Amino acid sequence: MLQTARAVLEKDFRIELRTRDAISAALVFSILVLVVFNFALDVNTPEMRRLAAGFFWVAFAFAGTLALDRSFALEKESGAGRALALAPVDAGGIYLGKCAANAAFLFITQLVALPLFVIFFDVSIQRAGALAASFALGSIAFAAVGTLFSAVAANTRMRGLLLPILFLPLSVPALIASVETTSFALGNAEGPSFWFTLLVVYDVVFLTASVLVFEYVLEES
Amino acid sequence: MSRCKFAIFIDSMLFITMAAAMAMIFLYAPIESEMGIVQKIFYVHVPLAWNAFLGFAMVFYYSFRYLSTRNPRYDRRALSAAEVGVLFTTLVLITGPIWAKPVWGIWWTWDARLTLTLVLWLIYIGYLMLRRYIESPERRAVLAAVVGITGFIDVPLVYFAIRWWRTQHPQPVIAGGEGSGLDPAMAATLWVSVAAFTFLFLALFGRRLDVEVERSRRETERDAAEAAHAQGVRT
Amino acid sequence: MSWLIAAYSAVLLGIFFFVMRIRRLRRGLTPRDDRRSPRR
Repeated sequence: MLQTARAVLEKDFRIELRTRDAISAALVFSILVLVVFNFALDVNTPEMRRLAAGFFWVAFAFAGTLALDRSFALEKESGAGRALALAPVDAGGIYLGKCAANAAFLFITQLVALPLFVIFFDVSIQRAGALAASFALGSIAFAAVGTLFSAVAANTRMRGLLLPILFLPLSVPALIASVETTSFALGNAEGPSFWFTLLVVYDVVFLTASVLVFEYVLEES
Repeated sequence: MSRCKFAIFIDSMLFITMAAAMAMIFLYAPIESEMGIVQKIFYVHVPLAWNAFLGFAMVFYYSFRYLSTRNPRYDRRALSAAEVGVLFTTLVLITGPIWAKPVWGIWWTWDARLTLTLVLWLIYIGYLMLRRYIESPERRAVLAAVVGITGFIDVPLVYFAIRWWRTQHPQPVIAGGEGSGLDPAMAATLWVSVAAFTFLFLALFGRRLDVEVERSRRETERDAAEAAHAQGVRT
Repeated sequence: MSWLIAAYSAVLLGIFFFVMRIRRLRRGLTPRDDRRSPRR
C-alpha cells in the first residue's frame, strides 16, 4: 500500500514540477482573496489584526478547492483515472498518494503566501513551531476530505463545481481548528491544546474513512 | 401486500398521534410563564429536529448497507431518508428563528445546536445535488453512499468544534434553554408530539420510497422490453 | 400569537410541498412510460 502511495505521490510531484498548475493557481487565488478582503473590510486596525488567521484560512479554504479539483480533473482528462482503477494495486494506496501530494501542495502554497500575509495584515509570528504544526495539520485535514470529494466530483456532470458544495460543509471543524491554532501561533488566542487534538482526530478519522471507501469511488471512474 | 398493510398502520397511527398531539399542545399543555404562547412552537420544532437527525442516521446506515451488499433497494431508502431529512431540517431552520425572535430578540445565534443543524442541512443539500448530476444509476448510488457515510462521520466533529468554539467566544446569553426543568405536562405533550412526528416521518419516507420502487420497476421492465425488441430485430 | 401561527403554517406548507412533490413524481412516472413507443 505504501509503495503504491509513493509511486502516485512521485507521479503527482513530477507533473506539478513540470506544470506548476495547482500551486500557482491556489497561490494567485489566495492572494486575490486577501487583497479583496483588504478592500471589502478595512483590515489595518488592531481589531482586524486579531482576526487575521480567519482571513488567511478562508482564503485557503477557497484556494484549496482549486488545487484539489485539479487533482482528479487531471486524471479524468487523460483517462488516467481508469488506468489507476484497473491497475492491480490497492485503492487505499492510490488515495494516500494523491492525498499526500495534495497536502504537500497546500502546505507549500501556504508557506509561499505566508510572507505576503504577514506584510498585508501586519501580524507577527509569536510561535513558529505552532504555526508550522497548524499549517501542516490543516493542510492534511483539507487534503484528506478534499481528495476523496475531488474524486467524487470528477465523476459528475458538474465536475469541479460540485467540489466546494460537498467539501466546505464537511471541513467546518477543520477550518475552525486551523483558524484557532494559527491564531494561537500569532499570539491572538489561548488554549490551543483542544484545537490541535481536534485537528489530529479529524485527520485520522477522515484519512481512515477515505482509505476504506476509496476503492468504491475509484471503480466508478 | 404487507407493505400496504404496514402503510395503513403507519397512516392510522399518524392520524391518531397527530390529533392527540395537537389537542395536547393547544388544550392540555400549560402556557409557559416567561415566553408565553410562542413557546408552543417548541412542540413541533424539537420533534422535527430529532426526526431529521434520525433521517440522516438512516442515510448513513443504508449507504453502508448499499456499499456492502450492492442491493439498489438500500440506495432507494437512503435517497428517501435524505429527502425527508432535508425537508425536516428546513422546517427546523424556519421554525427556529420564528421562535427565537420574539423570545430572545434575535433571529439567529451561532449556538452549537443551531449551527450543527445548518451544517447538516448544507451537507445533505450537497448529497441531493450530487445525485442530480450523475446519470448512471449504479455510479450515482456508490458515490452518494460515500458522501452519505463521510457526511455523517463529520457530525460529532462539527458538534464538538462548535461547542468548544462557543465556550471561547462570548455569545449572547440565552436564558431558559430547552429541557431546563420541563413541566411534566409539557414533557408528556412533547413525547406525544415526538411520536406523531416520527409517524409523519415514516409515512413521508414510505410514500417517497414507493415512488422510487415503482420507478425502478418500470425501468427494469422497459430495459427488458428493449432488450427483447433488440433481440427481435437482430434475428 | 402571530409568531405561533407563522411557525405552524410554515410546517404545514413544508409538508404540503413535499406531498405535492411526491404526487408530481408519481404522475411523472405513469404517462411518460405509456407514451413511450417501442422504437428505442
